Amino acid sequence: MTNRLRELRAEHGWSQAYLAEQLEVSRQSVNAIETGRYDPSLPLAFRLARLFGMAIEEIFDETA
Amino acid sequence: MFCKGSSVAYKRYQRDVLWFMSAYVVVLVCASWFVRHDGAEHFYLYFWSVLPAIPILAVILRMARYLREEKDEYQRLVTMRSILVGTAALLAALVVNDFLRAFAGAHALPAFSTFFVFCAGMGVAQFVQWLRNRGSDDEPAA
Repeated sequence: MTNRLRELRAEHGWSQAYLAEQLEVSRQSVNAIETGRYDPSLPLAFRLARLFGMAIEEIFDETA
Repeated sequence: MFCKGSSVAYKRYQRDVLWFMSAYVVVLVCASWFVRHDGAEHFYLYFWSVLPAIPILAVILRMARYLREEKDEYQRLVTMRSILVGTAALLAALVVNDFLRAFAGAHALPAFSTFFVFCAGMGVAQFVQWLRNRGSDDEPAA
């Protein structure tokens, strides 16, 4: 599964540490999601979507 | 566990494990002394032999509690993976040693080595994870 997290983070000018703080996870978690090494659970994906004001499928793409 | 941004749950876990391991060292030294000097009676021999295992069992239980308390799902996964690697290392060592003892007359693994093998396996897994995290430690956003 691929995601647009890095791109969205860049658009908002947020650091990984800031995003991690907002999501209440570690920076390593954000990094692992961004680099595709870890697919978040549904609750975390919802938190991400809410934070960026988007739908989950606009951030994550299961086809890739 | 090679983790810069440790969670509150992990810090508590680390603190407790440090206490248990300190208790282990103290109990082990006391047990060794008592067995050497007061080991004639069967009851005390059993008592002092089992006592050092208690802090080790406490560490294992604390590990389980940490997994329950950890809110960061990625960190939880990383810890579970390392526990799995530790368990696999321990099982592999025991199985190989079993066959060596059965067919080649080899000696059993040295005393106190089982938990060491488990921790070594966990340590290696965490080190590899730390290297992987470090490799992709790119921060720039814009």
